Amino acid sequence: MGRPFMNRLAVTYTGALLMLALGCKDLNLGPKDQVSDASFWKSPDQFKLAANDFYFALRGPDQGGGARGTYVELNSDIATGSGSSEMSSMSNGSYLPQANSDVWNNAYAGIRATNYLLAKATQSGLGSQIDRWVGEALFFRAYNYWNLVKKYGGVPLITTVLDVNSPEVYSPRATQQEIIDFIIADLDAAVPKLVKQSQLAPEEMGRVTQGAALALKARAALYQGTWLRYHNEGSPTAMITASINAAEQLIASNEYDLYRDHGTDSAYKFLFILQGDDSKEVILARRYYAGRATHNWTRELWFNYMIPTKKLADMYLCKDGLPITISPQFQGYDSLETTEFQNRDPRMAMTLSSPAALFTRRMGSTRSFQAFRALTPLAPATCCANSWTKPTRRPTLSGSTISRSFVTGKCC
Amino acid sequence: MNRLPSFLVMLALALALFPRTAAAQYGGDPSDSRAPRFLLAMAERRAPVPVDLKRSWVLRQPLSLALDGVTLKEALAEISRQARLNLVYADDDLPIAATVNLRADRITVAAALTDVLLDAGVDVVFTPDGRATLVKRPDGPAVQLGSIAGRVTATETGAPLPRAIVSVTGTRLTAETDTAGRYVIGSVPVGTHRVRARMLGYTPADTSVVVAEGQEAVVNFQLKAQAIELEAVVAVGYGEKRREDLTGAVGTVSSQALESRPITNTLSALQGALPGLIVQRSGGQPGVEDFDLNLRGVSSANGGNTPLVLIDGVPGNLDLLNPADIESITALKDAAASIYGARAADGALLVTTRRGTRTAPVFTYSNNTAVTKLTGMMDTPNNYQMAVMDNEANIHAGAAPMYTPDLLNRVRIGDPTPIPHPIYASSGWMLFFTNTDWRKALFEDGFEQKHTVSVSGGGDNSTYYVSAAYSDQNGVIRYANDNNRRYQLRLNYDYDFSRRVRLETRLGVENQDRSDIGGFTHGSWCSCPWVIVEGIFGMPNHPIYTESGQHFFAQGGWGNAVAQAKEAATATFVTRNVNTNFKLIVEPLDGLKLNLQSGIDYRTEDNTDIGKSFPYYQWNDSNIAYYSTNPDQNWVGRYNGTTVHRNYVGYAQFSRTFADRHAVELMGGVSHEDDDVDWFQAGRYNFPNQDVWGLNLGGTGNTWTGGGGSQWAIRSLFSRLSYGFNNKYLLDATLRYDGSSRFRPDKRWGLFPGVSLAWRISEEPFARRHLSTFDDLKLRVSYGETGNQEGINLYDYLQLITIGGRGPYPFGTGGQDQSAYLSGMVAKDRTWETIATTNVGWDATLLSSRLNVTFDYFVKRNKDMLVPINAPALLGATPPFANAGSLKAWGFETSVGWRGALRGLSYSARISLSDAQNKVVNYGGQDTYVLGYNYVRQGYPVNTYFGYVFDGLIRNQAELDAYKLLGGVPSDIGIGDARYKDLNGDGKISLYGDNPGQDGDVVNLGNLAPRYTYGLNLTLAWKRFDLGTFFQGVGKRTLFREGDYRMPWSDWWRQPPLFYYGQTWNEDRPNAPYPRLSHGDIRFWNYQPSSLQKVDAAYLRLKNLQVGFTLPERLIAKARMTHARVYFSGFDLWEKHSVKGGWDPESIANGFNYPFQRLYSFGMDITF
Repeated sequence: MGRPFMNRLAVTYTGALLMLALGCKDLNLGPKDQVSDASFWKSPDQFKLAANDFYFALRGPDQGGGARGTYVELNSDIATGSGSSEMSSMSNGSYLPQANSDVWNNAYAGIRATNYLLAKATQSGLGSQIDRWVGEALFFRAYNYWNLVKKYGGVPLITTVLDVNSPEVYSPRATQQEIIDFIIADLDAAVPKLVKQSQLAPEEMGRVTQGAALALKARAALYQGTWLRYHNEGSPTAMITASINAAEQLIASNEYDLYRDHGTDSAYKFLFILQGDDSKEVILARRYYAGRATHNWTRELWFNYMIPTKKLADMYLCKDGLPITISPQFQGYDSLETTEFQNRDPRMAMTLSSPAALFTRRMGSTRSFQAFRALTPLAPATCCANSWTKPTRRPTLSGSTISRSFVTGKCC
Repeated sequence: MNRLPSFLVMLALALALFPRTAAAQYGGDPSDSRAPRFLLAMAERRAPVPVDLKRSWVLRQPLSLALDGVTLKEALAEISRQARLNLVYADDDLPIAATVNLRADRITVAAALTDVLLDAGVDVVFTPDGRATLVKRPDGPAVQLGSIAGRVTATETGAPLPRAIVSVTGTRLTAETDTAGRYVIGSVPVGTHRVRARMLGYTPADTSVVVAEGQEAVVNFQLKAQAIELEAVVAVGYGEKRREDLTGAVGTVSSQALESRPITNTLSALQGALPGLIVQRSGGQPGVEDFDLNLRGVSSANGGNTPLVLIDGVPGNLDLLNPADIESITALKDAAASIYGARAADGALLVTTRRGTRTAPVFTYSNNTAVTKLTGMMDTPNNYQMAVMDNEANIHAGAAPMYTPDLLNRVRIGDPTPIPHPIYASSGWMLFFTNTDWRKALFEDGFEQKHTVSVSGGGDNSTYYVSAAYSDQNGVIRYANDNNRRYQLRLNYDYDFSRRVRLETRLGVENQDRSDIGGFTHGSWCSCPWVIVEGIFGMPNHPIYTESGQHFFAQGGWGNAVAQAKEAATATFVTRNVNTNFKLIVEPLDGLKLNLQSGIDYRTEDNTDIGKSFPYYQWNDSNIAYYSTNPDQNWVGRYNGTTVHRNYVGYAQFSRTFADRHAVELMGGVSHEDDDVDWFQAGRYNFPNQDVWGLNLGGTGNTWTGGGGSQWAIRSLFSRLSYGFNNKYLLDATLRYDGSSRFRPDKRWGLFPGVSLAWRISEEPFARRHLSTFDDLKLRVSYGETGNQEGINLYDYLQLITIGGRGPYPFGTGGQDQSAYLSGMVAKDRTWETIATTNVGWDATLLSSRLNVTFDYFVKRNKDMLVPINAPALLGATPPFANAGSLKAWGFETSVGWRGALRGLSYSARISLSDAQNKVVNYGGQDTYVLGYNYVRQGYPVNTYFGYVFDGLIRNQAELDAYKLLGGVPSDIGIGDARYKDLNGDGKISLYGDNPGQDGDVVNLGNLAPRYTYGLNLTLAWKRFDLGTFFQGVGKRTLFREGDYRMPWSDWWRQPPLFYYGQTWNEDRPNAPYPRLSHGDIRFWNYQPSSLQKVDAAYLRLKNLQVGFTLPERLIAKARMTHARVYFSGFDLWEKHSVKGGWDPESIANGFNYPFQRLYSFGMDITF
């Protein structure tokens, strides 16, 4: 063990340390299952991916989706629900102003995403190749503002991507007219960039079209026009005219038609279940598909997340077109089966399940709602008997979660 | 040798301090006849003894000499001048005129004298008066030599003590004992010597011996076990220290704490073993105990809160390490952990595995066989009790009782004939009168076994330790394969290439094969197989089997737990772990050590879950009521994940003592650590055959795939300076500089300093005079900073885009279009949280080392905790957390140990007690809270429970009328319902204050943190018998009943906990403590979070009881055994607490966990 050994050792040691120093990865590591912003926004396909995400903002009954869009009726006096106190509080009169609102938060989250795409589109230099995705972003920005304006009136107008320090995060509210004008401007800009319904490839069914933009414009303009008219806040003419023009443009496109299959008395029912999918009457719909994108609405209705109130039941006209208060055809409230549902607008029986209605259980057998009145000795009979029906556009078969719900005999 | 890598800054510094020629200084063999010998003349000895050159300060002094052709006399004069050495010699004895050439810088006195006196035929003899005399070397051997040999055994047991150190006082003659306790010290100068034997954990002994020329003197030692098993050498970060030199709050656990316990997991052995270390488990399922490790309480609201675990210096996982392979565990609790920087926010646990000794092979075999039995689980009522409670709940809700007197009577007698259900007959339901004890049907006694074989030994240049272990735990669910098998292999091999070069290798292979109930594993609201939930809530009136013996479909939503356990396929969860750890240690100079270490862990997880389809039947006929999974939707899911964790460390240590009293140690180095994870999963539905579940056999129509991965790295520079003056005043200063991949480059690096000071009072002269009862007394104080990066995602500083995160959107006819969205806002300014720990403590050993006491008090401050920022929702995204908050934690640890002997009985006791509290000082001003548990609320400890103050029950109409006047009280409230206090007197029961700053009527009722955790260890040994008990407990703990423990009849289809039976208000129980039963909504009022739910959950648990017997040597000698012990060892045998309703002290608050078990085991340890 002399110097030669130590020298050899020193060389080995140095070599090992050098290998250590060179062999290590540096500290600039990136993710393996996410894409960095810097490497994204380079091709039209990437813009399309970003646009696809906007569709989740379309109101659906997704549990946990945030907006719980379908339960919007709980904000009125035509429905009440047991899903949560926040849901039922509006209809039972105990609603207190909330510190936070998913409607508000989700709309501005959506607006940020559309603003981001629009900003990236300008920088990308991809020009007209991404027109369609820019059009979809414009549509969804308008759609998000439309959700806001309906609930809050004038809201702060955010048109750029903000940072925590941006002064715009403390923007004051714009007027309702300004928001409506902005919606219309976005939709006007979107229409020429979008395709017609008939131009959608089969695998594109469900995407935003010119028709959807026009329909939304017609609604927004009509809303503002009637608002001005009935709140005496100015001349409604311009808005009403804009609404009419948009609607006529939509009608003139001949892209859409009423759904008439299964006979007049049943078309309404079939429109909202599997058979009505992608019919000519559908302009834009939130889409579901078994095993891919599912919801839990059947279970939630079963659990009385949303229950129609008497007011809604009373609002259905009789067959003679008269309200029940004056129609001689109204048979009274004595019995749900034999009097109240008689001689009414057929949509009533297609929306509210009457006690005699049959429903299909998971294993294929049928059962009538009659059974469930007795099932809940503690609840008023109307609780279960007056459940909503026709819940879903597509059957939900998402495995054990759903199956468990069907055997959990909890009602009310 | 000449040019060592210069990028090791500390190494270069060390080299600069040390002459490069120094390596040759002690190279000479003392018996080499050419060189002078350095001897020490002592008055009482006839012959001088050799001087220990390493310890002689005089001879180690550095000199600078430039002797070119001078005479020897001049040379000696120059050396003695520079060394201030009184050198005496007779001119006749030396060739004084001989010419000498020596040119050297920083050469030691010894080396210089050796050089100039080479071949002079003289020895250097130091005399007691301080002179060094050059004497002519006598003819023949200068010193007459003999030897000393003997055996070292333990006083109490007579067992041999291997690795004890025997030394001749005043010389450097030492020897280590072999496995039989034998030692031999050769070349001992003739004369009377003092011989001393010492060993870790034993009181040293010394005795005098006369050594005659050429003779072997026999000296046997019997060592008494010391008060406390104190490891003499304790691992600290990048090095080790003698216990008396420690300056920080450092706790150790020796292998004894882990021995002979019926455990397969190291973590369960650590419960209560170290003051300040809290180990909690969330379930009793083999392999899924979900141990939570925590040192000194919470330090961040953002996670982490777990000490960094290093196994032989490499970050690792204790979960799969064989407890039998562990030599010791050290916990660094205060500034001592700062050496580990950014990942040591909650201290560090340093685990050292066993290594061999230089002896002939020693074989050991140990086994352990255990039967396991359930401890507490939530008690549920039988059919009759449930029927009574159901009637009450109906009556109180204004409905007719379902069980008429006739039906109730049928329940009481257990009429085997069911009737159509009075209410749900139309659904095909039946009402049964028999009683099913699901608990009994579902659970059985479990069984465990463990075998460990090891061989250790070594030769001249190497030592080895090889072990293999197998353990098999069978869970307690009857019929099901809820088993866990482990196979562990370890090879620890050390090789000395030379006296200065050593290679240490550690190789561990760990394999865990766990099985579980396929398709029902780990429900989302229970960290246990789903059948546990079904087993607890299986309705006592549902039969297991139908009339014709098929599995009954448990109506009302519950599955049939027995059917699930029996019919389901077995899911498998396989974890394989290969740990390699190589360390090269080079000692180019005495006192300088270079260490190069690489540790690579490779871990794979390979899981298969199977959703088999099997039928349940209805009672009256054998029609299938329902399938567990649709026959065409049976499925298999596979998951495969790989983690590679690499760690490279290089560091240098330099230690030197100056002027015999300044002990200096410098350490510095670099490390790089990275972690790389990749996983993928795939699954298919629709398997035509339910016997074989290969993924390829499934249908191709509906499949799923997924994948992902992550990576992170951390690179560090670290150093430590230790300084000790006279062994009395000790200082440790550490500095670590960490760079982490989780931060933006300019926020990446952080500096973590630590300083600790200790004063060994017992070394002071006044203490020796006045505090002689203290063998050792030390005061310590420290301040150190560590980091926490756990609450931070891996790439927060990059704007990322998530693809496919929301699932596909079905454009067209069921298209599966992916989508992309921004994954949250970028956190540009974020960096780690810094936790500053201040610690004050003292250690004392007294009464002849029989009593040992330590105490520590600490305060931890998280100075820049990540907290949410408030920003208006207009931002459109959640703003990233910023380093703007703070959290404070404080507490103490103490332990007292005693060891004594009484005639043939030796005994010991050790009690440890610790406490930790915390408070979220600043959480960015956010002050929202909810009823019940709140993880974070500013101004409160984490996990604080808020609730109403229960004010008794409404017992009569007057009380009801008065209470109804308050606002916020439900309109259907009645006699027998709960009252809560209107604390703020606003005439309203309200959750939140109506005015800003008011808290409404909800107050802080306590928090989850266990307080005053303690451990009590008692041992007794008498002749061949030994007894050990270990108690563990929590002195103060508040539990709030949660989930289904909280409320009887939380739903009408869920049976109430038995605990409430006869305990709720009813007309005939007007003084019952709990509100009345009801199926109505009033139950949510009565049993909402309030002080009614508060339960004192302090407990004391007998964790381990061992009774052992060591077989007599004469019996086992025939079988060539040297040691054999048989024992009974029990685990979790007994507990005391005051929680009612069937509850295990360690169970989670909502009552759902895989039940814990008591273990009754027998085992043996054999050494060949």
